[in-house]
Amino acid sequence: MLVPLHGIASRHDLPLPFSYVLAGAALALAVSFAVLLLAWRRPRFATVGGLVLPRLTRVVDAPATRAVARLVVLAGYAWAALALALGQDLLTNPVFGFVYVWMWVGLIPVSLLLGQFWRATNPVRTVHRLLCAVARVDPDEGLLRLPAAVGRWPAALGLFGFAWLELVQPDRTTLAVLRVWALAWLVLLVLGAIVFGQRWVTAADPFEAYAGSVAQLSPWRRVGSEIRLVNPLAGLTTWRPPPGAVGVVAVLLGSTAYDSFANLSWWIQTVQSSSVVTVVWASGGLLVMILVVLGTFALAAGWMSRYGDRPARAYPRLMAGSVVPIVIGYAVAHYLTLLVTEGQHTAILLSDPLGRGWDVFGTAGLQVDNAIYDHPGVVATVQALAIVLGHVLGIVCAHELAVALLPERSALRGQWPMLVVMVGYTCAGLVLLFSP
Amino acid sequence: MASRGSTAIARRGRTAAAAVTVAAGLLLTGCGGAAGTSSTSADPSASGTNSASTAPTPAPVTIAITMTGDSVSPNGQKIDATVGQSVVLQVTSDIADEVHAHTGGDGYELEVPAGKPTTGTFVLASPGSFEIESHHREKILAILNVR
Repeated sequence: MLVPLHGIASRHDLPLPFSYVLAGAALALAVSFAVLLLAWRRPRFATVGGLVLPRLTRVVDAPATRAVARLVVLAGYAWAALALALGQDLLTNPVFGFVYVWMWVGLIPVSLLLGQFWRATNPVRTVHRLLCAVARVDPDEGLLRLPAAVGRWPAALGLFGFAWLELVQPDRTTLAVLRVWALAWLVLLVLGAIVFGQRWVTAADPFEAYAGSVAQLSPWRRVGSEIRLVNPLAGLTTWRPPPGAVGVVAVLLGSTAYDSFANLSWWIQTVQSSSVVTVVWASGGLLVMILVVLGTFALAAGWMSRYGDRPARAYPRLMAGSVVPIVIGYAVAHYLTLLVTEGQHTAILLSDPLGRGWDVFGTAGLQVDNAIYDHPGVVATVQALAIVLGHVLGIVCAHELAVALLPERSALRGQWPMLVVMVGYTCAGLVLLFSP
Repeated sequence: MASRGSTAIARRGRTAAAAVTVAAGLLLTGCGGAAGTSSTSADPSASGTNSASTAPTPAPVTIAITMTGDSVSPNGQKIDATVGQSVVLQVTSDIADEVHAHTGGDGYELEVPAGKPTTGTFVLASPGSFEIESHHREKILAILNVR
C-alpha cells in the first residue's frame, strides 16, 4: 500500500468550481449587508431561555451514566493506545485514523450533537480521577492555585502544537513520532492536573478547548444545574468566552486555512524549489496564517472600543464566540470527505489493532464505501454551503454581540470592521477551496 | 428623537435598500451558477468505425517528468483529466526513484532506474484530486484533478 506524502488520506476533494466561489461570496456579501441594514437594534438573546429538561438532566447526571460513559470512552482510548504501543508501524495501524480523523474531526459532530460530552468523558480526566481515588485526594484540589487569567491560553498553545503535528511534522504517520506526542500530551495534562487540580485540564487540553467552543452551538446547554434545549444562536451569544478563547479560535481557523493554502500550486512550487527545508516553510506558513487571523480579528474587535465603554483589549475575547461558526464551516468544508471515508477505514482497522489478523469488532472484512467521491458536485455544494452558513451564523452572532455591548446608536458603526473581516475570512476560505 | 413619520420613512428606505441588496446577491448567484454549468471536458477522439458500443475514449494525458538532483519538473502543477482517461508517465531521473500516483485504493507505482527514460500507464477509474509524487525526493510532481 502506497504511503501518501502527507497525512493518511491519499485522495482529496476536487477544487471548488470558480462559479461556486463567486456564488458563495455574493451570497455572503448580500446576507452581511442585509444583517447590517435590517437586523434588530436591541439584543434578542439577553437570556438564553430555552426548554428546561429535568428528566434528561437526571439521566445525564446520574453517577451510573457518567461512570459508564467515561469508562467506555476510556476503553476506546486504551484500545487505540494499544495499537500505538504494540501495533505495526504501517498505515494500517488504526491509531493514525483514530487521532487525525476520529478525534480531530469527529469532535465536531460529537460536540454539536451531544453538547459538552467531550469534557464530561475526557479520558485524561478519568485517568486523573482514578489516580486521585487511589491516592485519596480530591481531584479538584492541587498543590498550587491556577490563576483565572490563564484561561485557555495553554490549550491554544496545545492546539498550535497539534496543528503543527497534523500539518508540518515530518513522518507524522509513524509510530515513533506519534508515541512521543501522545505521551507528552498525557503527561503534561495529568502532571498539570496533579499540580493545579482538575482545572488544569480545562485550561490546557487542546481537544477539550476545541470541543468546548463547538459545543456552544449545540442545542443542549447546561444553565445552572439543569440541561435545557436552547436556540443554538442564543447559546452561542450568551457564552462568556474565557481568556484565551481568541487564541483557540485563531489557531483553529488559521490551521484549517493553512491546510488549504498548502495545496496551492504556487506554494508547492515555491517550497519545493527552495533550498530552505520544507519544515521551516510549513511552520512559517502555519504561524503566519494564525497570526493573520488573530491580528485581523483583534483589530476589528478593538475598533468597537471607540463606541463602547470597555478597553480595546477586552473586545476580542468578548467577540470570540462569533468566529466559532466560521471555524466549524471551514472544518466541515475541508474534512467532511475525510471523516466519511477515512473514518470508515479507521473503524475497519480498529478490529485489528496489532496487525495480527484479528477481527474483534467484526469490521475487519468490510470495504470502505467511497461513494461520496463519485459525487464531486454534491461535495462541492456542501463545502460552499458549509462556509457560507458558517459565515451567516458568525455575522448574526457578531451583530447580536455588538448590539449587546455597544449603545444602540453606534452599534452599526462599531461592528462594520468585524463584518468586513468575516467577509474576508469567508471569501478567503472559498478561494482557498478553489485551489489554483 | 426622530418623529414617528420620519422613522417610518427611514425604515422603508432601509427595507428597500436591503431588498435591492439581497436581489443583487441572488442575481449574482444565479449568473455565477449559470456560468459554472458549462463544463470543461477533454475532447473525445471519436471513432467512426463500428467498434464496441462503449463511449469514445479520450486521448491519454501524457506527463513528461524530468528529475535532476533535487529539482523536479513538473513541480506541483495542476493537471485536469476525466474519468476513464489513461495517464502516460514518461519519466527520466538521474538517480533511481519511484513515481507514485495516489489514485485511491492501491494506487500506481512506477520504478524508475537511474538515467533510463521509463514509461508507465494507468487508467483513471474515479473522480477526485490525486497527487503524483517522487517517492525518494518526497516532492509532489503534479496534482491530477479528475472529473
